[in-house]
Amino acid sequence: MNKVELLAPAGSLEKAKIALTYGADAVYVGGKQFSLRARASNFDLKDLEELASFAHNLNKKVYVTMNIIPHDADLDGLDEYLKALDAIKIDAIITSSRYIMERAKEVAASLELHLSTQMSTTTSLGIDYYHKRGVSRVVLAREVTLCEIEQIMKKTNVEIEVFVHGGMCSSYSGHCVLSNHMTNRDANRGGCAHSCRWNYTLYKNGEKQPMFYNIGSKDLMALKFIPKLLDLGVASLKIEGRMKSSYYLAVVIRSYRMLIDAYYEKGYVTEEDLKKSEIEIGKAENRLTSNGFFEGLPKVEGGLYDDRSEHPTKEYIGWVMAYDESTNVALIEQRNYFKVGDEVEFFGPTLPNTKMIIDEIIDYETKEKREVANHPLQLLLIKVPFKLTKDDMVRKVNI
Amino acid sequence: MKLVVELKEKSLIDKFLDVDGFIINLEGLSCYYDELCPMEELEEVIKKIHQNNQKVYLNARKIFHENELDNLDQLLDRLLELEIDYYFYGDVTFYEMACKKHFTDKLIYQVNTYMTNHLDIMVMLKENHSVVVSTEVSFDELKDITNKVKEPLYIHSFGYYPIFHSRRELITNYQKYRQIEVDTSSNYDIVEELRESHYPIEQNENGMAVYLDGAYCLAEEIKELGLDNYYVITSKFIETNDFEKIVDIYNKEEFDKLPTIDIIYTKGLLYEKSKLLKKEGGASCE
Ligand code: SF4
Repeated sequence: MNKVELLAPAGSLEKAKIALTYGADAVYVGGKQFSLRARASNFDLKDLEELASFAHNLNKKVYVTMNIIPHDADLDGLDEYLKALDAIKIDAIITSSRYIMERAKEVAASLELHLSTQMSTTTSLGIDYYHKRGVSRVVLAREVTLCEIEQIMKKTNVEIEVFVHGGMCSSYSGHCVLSNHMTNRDANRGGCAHSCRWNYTLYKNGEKQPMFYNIGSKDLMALKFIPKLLDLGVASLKIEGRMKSSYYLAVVIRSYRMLIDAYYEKGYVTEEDLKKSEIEIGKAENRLTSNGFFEGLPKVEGGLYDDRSEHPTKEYIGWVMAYDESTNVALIEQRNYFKVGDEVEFFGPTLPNTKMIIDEIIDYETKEKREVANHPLQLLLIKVPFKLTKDDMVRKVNI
Repeated sequence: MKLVVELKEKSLIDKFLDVDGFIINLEGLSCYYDELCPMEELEEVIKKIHQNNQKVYLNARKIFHENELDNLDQLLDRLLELEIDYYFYGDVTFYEMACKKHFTDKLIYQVNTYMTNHLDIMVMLKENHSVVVSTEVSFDELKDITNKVKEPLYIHSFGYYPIFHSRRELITNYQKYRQIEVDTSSNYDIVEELRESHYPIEQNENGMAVYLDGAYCLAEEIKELGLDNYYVITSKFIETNDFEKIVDIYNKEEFDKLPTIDIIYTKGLLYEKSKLLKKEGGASCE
């Protein structure tokens, strides 16, 4: 059985490396051009080249999003860009434009073509259509239910990629231009203002209704469907969130990685495995989640109404830069406030969650003792009685 | 001017003798429609339109799901026995079916949000009879597209169009959440809390859609776009009386009379070029 790919987003070179280190088999990133997620699209060709080489050394892959729905002026320089991606050995582009696909086949033949979820592909026939036009992988619309995925998988040999985690458009992707009309920002070219999450007043037959109307969607969390998706032979499980923090990526990727590995190892996952992953993910961000369409059309529970808690947690306090085994001292880069006496938990790609109490904080530059760590990115030395590895992370336990 | 007009009522066939063709909506196939034509009346309606030397266009713009494919297959077999001239479609599932049944020469590709540049349009023209240009382009872009593509295109020129389409039952879900009576058949519109425009919304078997805050209206602009193109007029949210007057105005190109009809018009994004933003945002996708 081919092992499923865990595919993660990354908004910067640092995040992409974290994603691959924490268990992603591939990352998708935006270049400077042709990519949605405008703010997250900060990879120039030099970064992309470095990332491709980093990933390939680990036997992992890099996909570049070219998923805007382009207007004429956006297509300038397309051939050069495709050739450059090909030359630096990017594995695939994720695209929604038939013209971009045609040009890629012509000028960058070794780039694989993945069809973006922007095209809202929902059927085996839709997959056939794009496959005949050179697409090797289709990212399914998030509107496809698990039952429908099962039917589709019986009828296709094309690689299928399925979203399993993260934010969801409440519209069919590519079919929403609320943001264009309400804010003049083009949702299909990286400018979505998340208008689906705003409050609206509803009028019924012209009469104003007393309570706000909402159309937004909770985030997707598909942990419990992973075994079924693996059984069905889905090629890739995708996490959404190119704008997310390194900490979020590390936690979410690691949680899915553990679950996938547990399933391959044991042939099943327990309720306890699922609960553990869910609790872990809860430590990264407090966004409300749902099953999306996996169990059928989302009912009331799938929507976002008045009750929102969408703030990233402040648990994440530091990133391990180095660890000296002879002195048991870790060099930590500060990410959020913490102090002597706090109970903290270290974790990493191979380090299980391990707790301890901070009994001393030393400023790396001045070598002075500190009671609190309150400067972002400050380098600090902390005594840690168990072995750490670069890129492990630390978070607070009780906040 | 070549007008393609949504068939709001059967009785309008004999009133709109100057239009090039009618768009018919059919259950199980159509999306974003005004009135559905009952299947049992379809043959007679087609005959009537053809008697007047006009074309029959079918709205096949539904987004299909896997468990609907058998029904689609059977429905198309029945439709192929009738003389439908063209099909507007937006899901390539429909294209694949048409391929199997050998009628891709009757297809007109229409996804209002996708066909935003002349190069993608030209790729789609190779496989289809024609393409409907996106409504999400500025007037300058629209002119540029029609100039660069040397073939006649279909252009949405009048009517409300969808700006959001969800598979979710977003009216039902809301009413259940608020514990109020579930009623999806009333007329609904929404207003954003800091804005004033009313956007009609509707839920049906295709999910829930939000429509533009007025009837999109190309008028004098048409003269600059050229009369080779086909101009599409839709009737959703427009009263029959008003719709008759609108079609008459377009037929006679008397656009200065539009303000005499009391409906909300909008130029959409024609003169408000939407921007690719560098600073923030991003739909919830890749
Ligand atoms: S407004 Fe919502 S549904 Fe529309 S593109 Fe943005 S995130 Fe997606």
